[in-house]
Amino acid sequence: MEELSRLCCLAVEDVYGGFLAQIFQHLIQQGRLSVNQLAQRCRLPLRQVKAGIAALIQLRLIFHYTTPDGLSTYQANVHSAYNLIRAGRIVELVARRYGPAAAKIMEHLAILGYATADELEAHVCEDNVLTTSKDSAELTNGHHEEGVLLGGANPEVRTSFRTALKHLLDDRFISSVRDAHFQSEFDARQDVERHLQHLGMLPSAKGKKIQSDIDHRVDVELESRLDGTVSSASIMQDFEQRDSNENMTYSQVYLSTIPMLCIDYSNLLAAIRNERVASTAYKLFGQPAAQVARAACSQVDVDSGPFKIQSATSAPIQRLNVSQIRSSMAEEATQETLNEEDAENGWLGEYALNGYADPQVNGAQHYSQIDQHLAVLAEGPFSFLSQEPGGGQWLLHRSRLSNFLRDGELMRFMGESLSGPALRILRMLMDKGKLDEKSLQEIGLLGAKELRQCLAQLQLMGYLELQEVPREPQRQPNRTIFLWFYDAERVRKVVLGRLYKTMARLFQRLHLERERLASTLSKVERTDVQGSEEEMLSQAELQVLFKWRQKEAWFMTEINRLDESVVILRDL
Amino acid sequence: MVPPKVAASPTPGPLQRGGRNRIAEALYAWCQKHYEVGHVFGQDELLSAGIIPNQDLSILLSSVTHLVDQSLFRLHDRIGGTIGWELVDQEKAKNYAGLTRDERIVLFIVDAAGTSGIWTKIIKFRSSLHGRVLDRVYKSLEAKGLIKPMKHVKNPGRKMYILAGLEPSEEASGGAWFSEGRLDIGLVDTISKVVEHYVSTQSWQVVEPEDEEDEPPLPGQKRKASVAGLDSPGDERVKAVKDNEGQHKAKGPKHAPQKSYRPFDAGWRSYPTLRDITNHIMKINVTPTILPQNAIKQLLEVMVYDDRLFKMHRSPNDDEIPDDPVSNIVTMYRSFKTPNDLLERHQLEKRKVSSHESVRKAALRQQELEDIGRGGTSEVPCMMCPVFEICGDGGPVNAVTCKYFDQWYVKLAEADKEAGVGQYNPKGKEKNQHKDRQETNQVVNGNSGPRVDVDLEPS
Repeated sequence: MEELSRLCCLAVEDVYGGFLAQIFQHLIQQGRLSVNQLAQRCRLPLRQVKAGIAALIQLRLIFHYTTPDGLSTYQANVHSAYNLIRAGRIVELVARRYGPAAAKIMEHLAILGYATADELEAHVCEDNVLTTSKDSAELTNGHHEEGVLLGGANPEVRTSFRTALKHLLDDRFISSVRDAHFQSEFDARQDVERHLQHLGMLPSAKGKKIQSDIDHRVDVELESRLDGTVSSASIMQDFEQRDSNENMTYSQVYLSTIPMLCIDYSNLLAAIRNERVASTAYKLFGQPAAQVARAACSQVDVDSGPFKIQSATSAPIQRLNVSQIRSSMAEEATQETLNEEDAENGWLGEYALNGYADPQVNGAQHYSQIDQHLAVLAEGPFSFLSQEPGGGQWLLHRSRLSNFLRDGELMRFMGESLSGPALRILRMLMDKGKLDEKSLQEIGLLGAKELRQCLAQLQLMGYLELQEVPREPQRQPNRTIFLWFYDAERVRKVVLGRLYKTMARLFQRLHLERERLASTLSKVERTDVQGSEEEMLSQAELQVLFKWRQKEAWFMTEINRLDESVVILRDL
Repeated sequence: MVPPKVAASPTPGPLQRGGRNRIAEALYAWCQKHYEVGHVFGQDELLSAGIIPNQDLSILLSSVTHLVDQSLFRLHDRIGGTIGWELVDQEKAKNYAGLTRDERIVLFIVDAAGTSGIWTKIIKFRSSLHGRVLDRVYKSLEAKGLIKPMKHVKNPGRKMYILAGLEPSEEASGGAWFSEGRLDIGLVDTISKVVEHYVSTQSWQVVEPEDEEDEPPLPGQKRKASVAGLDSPGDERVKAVKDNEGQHKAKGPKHAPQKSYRPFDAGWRSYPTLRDITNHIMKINVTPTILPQNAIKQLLEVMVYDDRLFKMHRSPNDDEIPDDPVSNIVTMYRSFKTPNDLLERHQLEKRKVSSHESVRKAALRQQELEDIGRGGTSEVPCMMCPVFEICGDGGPVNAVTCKYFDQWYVKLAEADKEAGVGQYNPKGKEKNQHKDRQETNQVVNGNSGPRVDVDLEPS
């Protein structure tokens, strides 16, 4: 946890600068604080701290909670702070799937934290006007700003914004924020409990059975409060209403409850997961099987929320829809061909419509072939797939899928830092449970010396644990059985800690490198230089700038790769 | 065990004349004829032979004593306080001839331990002889070629002896994979490679690049492979049928210059089983060591743990014995890698020890890239850092003082050059070209997130 909180601080600092990071850091390290306490700890004037807190709340980086007697306290929102690292990737994913217009929306939403659809539209349109005007360089400064203030006179931009937004909403890249999202899980739960008690819906008696019943009810209510689904239809309707009724004032807008939109990261997680499965399948069985595997996995969605509430809706086994696999493969195929043709101007609307037109031509496959591939996959090591007996439907076991990925990831991770038969030992222990050294030697065909070295190394790294079972109460070592065992859950935590720490180091180092080049970079950041670096900078400076960008890319690549591991190990 | 009653004496009359020895010999001959070596006789049984005249106990006693002296009989106490005599093989008895008493005792103890051998400490305890005496005895027995020292796998430090004519039992020697009490890693490696290759040829379907002919899938690419092809002629036919069935399918993923492979359709039953693999190993005669089925089974388990093979199950054919009688299934083995991959790997290993530095370097780099695959955490210095645990803010090692990053930059720049990206190009406006610097084709977003300046006017 300590590593994670440090990493979050660094991410906040990297994105939003030192001031907010300082407040955030105190909150994340010291837990729940009131404004006064916070100002004291930060050694900052109260007014500044308040401004900072307001900004942090807007960015969804902290939770706030006000008790019934009026005392407000704040807590760091580790989850969404961590998501800052992912913001770039989800924008990229959207750009790839839906084209640049949609990516722009995501970008703005990420900057805003959360926003109503109107605000979002205003921002995106404004930005569009700015960029287009800059590109065409026709208008002088004064003119176009008026246009923006008039509400984005450009109807073309607006319609493209609305279609893109509709797609994003439909595919759950954007969901809504509710009040409960601004409270920590504990507070939200307490609120729900109080609310239900107030309504007299909770039994007053105590006992284990009743307690579980209460928990269940609270879960249900909490889930409904945290439910971020928002229908694109209602948002679109709002737009139309507003268009027809331009004169509606701000207060009127706020009177009706307008959904606040925010980024939903679950699609990113699912995409990373599916990619992982597909690449494993590709390595083993080649491209067609990989496509089927990806399409099959994409039918299982991920819950990215910070609070994992066990609900009845996420069944452990998902029935796969073969025709959907087929259509999504067809879509993928068309998208690929289109992407090859013009990667630049790709726009989603057309693909999705055209994709269905003639799937046969575009490389979609017959049902029987998909069945075949699924069968080959299921027979191979992809044990999360199975078929109902008698050639029925295909099933996908969620927990097996995530365990499959988790084990693979852990093995990969451990294999990187270990040598020799260490992985063999680990798999043996995974398979057999607890073993003593003698049986490890026997089963694993290992020499005693080699084995001992390996075990010591594994224990040192924290991947293996040793259990002592004394045969006598005196606990003499020679009358004690020593059993080695592997606990995936513990190892997962160890590995996550290392991942966080590594990411934190990378951020720190990136920061350090930036400091070193501060003079050049500050010049690059000047508004008159931006965009025309070629003319304004000297050759040497350009060289430095290029080297720096390269370095930054290296760091970000590695951070993203590490984040991928985090997705597999933590979020699935 | 009640011995069969012998009604009439099988031996002819002239025993009387022969004196003790001849009675004893006759008695021994009778025993040998009717009983196995190692059978323990009671007095009644010996008398029932009808060799001892008049069932005279004194004659019996003297002849038995004679036999014991000759080591042809061995004395035993039996339950209930009586005495029994164990029949000893003549050959064995010869060993005892001309030994001192001590030597005899020791040899007897070692002999009794059989193939499992015996620890000197136990000999000492059983014989109650002095340590020095024992040392002398061991030396003389070894010189006479009667016993030899041996090593036990589980307790390599113990000094143990075994009869010179015996091989240590499997438990003591550790089985086929051990030679002289130590694990023969070279043997394990070689055989596992052979096994992997064999399994691999059997678990992938060959796709001919031109047309999907019914050709046997294993032309002599390697010696082993060709033999494997002869292994089960029935397989080819089935394969051919399968080939025809799957003709409409896309071609295999791995396009090697000469052939490519694709997985068999689901439900394929001819992945090699333990029996097939053992037979194959025997047939190709790769090692003089005899590898029994259970040794191969042990090796296969290890290979599964090494993530080279994986198991599949099916119901047994008619002539097969199920591996797991409870659920009545046979285990089949399948490899992760195609023969092409294996070949490639093999060549890579070769190149890694090549004499040319550039070749070696390239091979190492290739290996590195393969290992990375997706998610290249191993490239980050921190992941391999020897002082990662003590790295921390304000500590002796931290992100600022770290010296590994500079090396990392150099390495990355080199890798970029190799991949042909990341060269500074003053004219090209495409600054993004460095983004796909890895073969992994992972597109990087150069930006971790939006950069926002929050307005904070301390007004």
